[in-house]
Amino acid sequence: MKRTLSATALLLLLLAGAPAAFSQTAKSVIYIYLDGGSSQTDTFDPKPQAGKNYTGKYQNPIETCLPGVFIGERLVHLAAIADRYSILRGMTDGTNAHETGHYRMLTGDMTGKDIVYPSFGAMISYKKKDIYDNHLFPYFCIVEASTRFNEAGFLASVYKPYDTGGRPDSEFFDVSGIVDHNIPDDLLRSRRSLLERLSAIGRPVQQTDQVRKAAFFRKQGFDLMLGDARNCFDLGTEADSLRKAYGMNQFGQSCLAARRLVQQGVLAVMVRFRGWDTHKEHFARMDERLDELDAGVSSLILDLESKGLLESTIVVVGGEFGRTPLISFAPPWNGGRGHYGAAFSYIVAGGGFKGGCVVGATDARGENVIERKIYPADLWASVYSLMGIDPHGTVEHPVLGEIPILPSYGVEGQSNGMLTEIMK
Amino acid sequence: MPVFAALLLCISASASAAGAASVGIDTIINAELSRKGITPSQTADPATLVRRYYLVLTDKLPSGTQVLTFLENQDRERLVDSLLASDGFSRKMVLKWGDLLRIKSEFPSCMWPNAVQALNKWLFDEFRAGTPYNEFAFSLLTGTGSNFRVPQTNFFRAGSDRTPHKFASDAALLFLGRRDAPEEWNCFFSQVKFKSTKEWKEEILCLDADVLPPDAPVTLGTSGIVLEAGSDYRIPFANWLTGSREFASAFANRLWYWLMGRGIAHPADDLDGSAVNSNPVLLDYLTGRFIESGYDIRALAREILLSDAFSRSSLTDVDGNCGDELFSHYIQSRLTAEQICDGICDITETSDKYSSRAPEPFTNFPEGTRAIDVCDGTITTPQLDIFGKPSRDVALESGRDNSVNAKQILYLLNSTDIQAKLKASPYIDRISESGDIHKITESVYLRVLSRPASEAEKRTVSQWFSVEKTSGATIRDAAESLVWALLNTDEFLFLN
Repeated sequence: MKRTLSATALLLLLLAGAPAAFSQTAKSVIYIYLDGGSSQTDTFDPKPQAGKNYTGKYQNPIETCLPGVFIGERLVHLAAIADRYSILRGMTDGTNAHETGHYRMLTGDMTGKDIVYPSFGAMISYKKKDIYDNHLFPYFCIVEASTRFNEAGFLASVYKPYDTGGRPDSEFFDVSGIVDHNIPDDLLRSRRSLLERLSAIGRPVQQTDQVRKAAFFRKQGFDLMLGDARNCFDLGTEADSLRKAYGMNQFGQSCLAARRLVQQGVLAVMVRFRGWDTHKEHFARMDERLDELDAGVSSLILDLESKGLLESTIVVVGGEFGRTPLISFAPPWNGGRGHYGAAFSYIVAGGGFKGGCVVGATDARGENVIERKIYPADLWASVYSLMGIDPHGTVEHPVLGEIPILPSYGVEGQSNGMLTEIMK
Repeated sequence: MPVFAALLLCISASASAAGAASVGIDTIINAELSRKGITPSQTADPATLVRRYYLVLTDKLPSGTQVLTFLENQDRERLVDSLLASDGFSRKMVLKWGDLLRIKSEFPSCMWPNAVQALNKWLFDEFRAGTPYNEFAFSLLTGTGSNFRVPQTNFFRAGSDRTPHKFASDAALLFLGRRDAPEEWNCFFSQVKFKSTKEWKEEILCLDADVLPPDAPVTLGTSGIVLEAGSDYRIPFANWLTGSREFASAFANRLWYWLMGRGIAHPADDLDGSAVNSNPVLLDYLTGRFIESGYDIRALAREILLSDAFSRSSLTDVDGNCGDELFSHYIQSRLTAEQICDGICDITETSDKYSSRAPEPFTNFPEGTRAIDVCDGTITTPQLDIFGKPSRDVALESGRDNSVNAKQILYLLNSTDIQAKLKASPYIDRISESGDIHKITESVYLRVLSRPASEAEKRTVSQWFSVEKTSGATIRDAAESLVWALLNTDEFLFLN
């Protein structure tokens, strides 16, 4: 009797064994996007043995809190908390072109068909549209999305991210449309009253659905502009020491703003960290970028943890590809690194991802993935799954009807399976 | 009294129906309306009409002077003719065709900047010269050579999927409003191939002489066509296509959609699928007129623009979509991305900056460039995106999203961009100099809403200002708030 399973037990077992899609652990995702493509060998996959033509001046990687796991020498704070995140050294997206890499990483689609998919944030907003109930938009981009591909893909433009605009590191972080420190509340109220009075006596406008929507959004807009929601962007309420730990620069403060957004329940945030396309003056620029990255990401992870948000917030860090491990010393590059899509590194933390693991490995020079390739679709299948979205699920295309949300997922050469090894 | 008014209305309706240019369109539409027992809306007032004509034909708000000139002479023919002859109309056509041809530097079309500029220039020259539509389509389908020097070859470079079937489907979509092409058409495009050159992103479209034609005749419409080895297989196809009535009808319907806000058969690009033809007689009539005119786009547009149907008010008692599809009133729609963004720049006399740092070579447009002239799906601004500028990933009319959403309203109410433009506006500086709130009100209504302010409106603004003054508002503050308020009215946001 003990050896035979009852039908109910079998069903339970099947349910338990079903993909993690049905057991949601994450509520939000923050994608720290290293726009331009960050060097894998200078960050999370150092190769000191490859020689100076590969390492340049970064010859002394540091050991993390995980014995035997080394990362780039400038990432001191991240080294100390390597148990909080996992390193993905097997990333590959097979393209050295910005626009294609950008598209592949943001959507997980490598099919190369004419269908343009929505980005992760648009897709998550779409899949959660019936349950997301929040006065803030579901998907934010700090401070501005790239125009290299259309974020909403074939979905309606309403799924595009809300660009905050503004400067999170300046005295006033003005979020276009929501907060403008130059416009006092009194002025907004006075203008609203003028608008209402003039609308009432203006030429009549046919009351279509669209006109009624505009009226509804106008009311909602004033509530947002004059209500509490805007406090979310007031970084001045955070302790000075915390703000400084994040780094008093645009990237650091953007990370802090991202934490405040997920704290409010926003589903997806992209922090677009620009300046990684270092064909020239690579090392001089890396000194600065890496320090900012180190402070911003380590503070974000620790801050999320201390607020009890790390368990429900996925943090993903990486760009559209890596960079050539071999340095281009010849003019005009004079010590730069080119685009490199064959092998690169990401880190992931929180929301159901385990910390302290290294997934995948590259060869002695960081040029080829020799163990556990990870494709964009694998990353997003894992994230979607942790967000309670079935990675085999579908999305409605305006012409084609229901099509897979991750068309590359499970396709030979475009996918190598979900990151189950680091999913709790 | 009501009987008398109704009688007058009747007389004026029949009088205008007798006007030579509009006799066909209006008799057909009115017959359908009376059959369904629907009373059409009245003619829109002249101020609404002048704004509509400028926006529909050039995407540009009329200036105050242009509004006043029309209010005085109310000469629709003269206005329509001058707008159709203007570069503004050619630019609007370049924009519409740019959407359809997916003109875009970067992903996924990867036309790249040089080709984008060459193709836009070619389109503009074609529309300005008034090339007959059948010849225009023939050129697009049969170009060979460098994509920089023979710009129409870029028709074949818009997608990442360069297969004969995709080319055939693109042709079917653009020129016949069909979502897909029959497999038999593939052979017409089977020779198309590309060679690269030493010039960055230059590609030569050439024909592969080794591709043999099918043995059997290929069916096109009702006839079979035998392809000869060594010839350009696209030519018999293009000849058949541009000579077919379906071709003329698909464009007549599309142009009607662009001008009237809804296709007679709608949607205009799913004619063999979900489209419903609400008035086959009308579409057939327009198709015939278009062919008779020698495929003259302007002549077809002119007839539509001077019809009673075009000039009706958007205000209607007719419920739901029924009136929409029968054109009992003019279909109200939100202003397009380009209309709004250029409109705000025109009103405030400021400009947006358009540039692209990627891909190389970098593209920088001169100061004062208008959104409608950017003509590249890759180059945009946050505000154009918010208002649904199409990314040109698909060649569908639905790629241009004119629905209202919360971000658009927040943009108009309180965006950094709007506030900065109001602050920096030379126009607001200038009108404030008079110090006269009445004059300011007159000017702002004319500029923003393209109509004179009513006495009640002038009084309301002046009363509002007299209170604001006591809390320290200056005359410039008032002018700025007034422009802000009118930009946020439905009257501004919608084309009606």
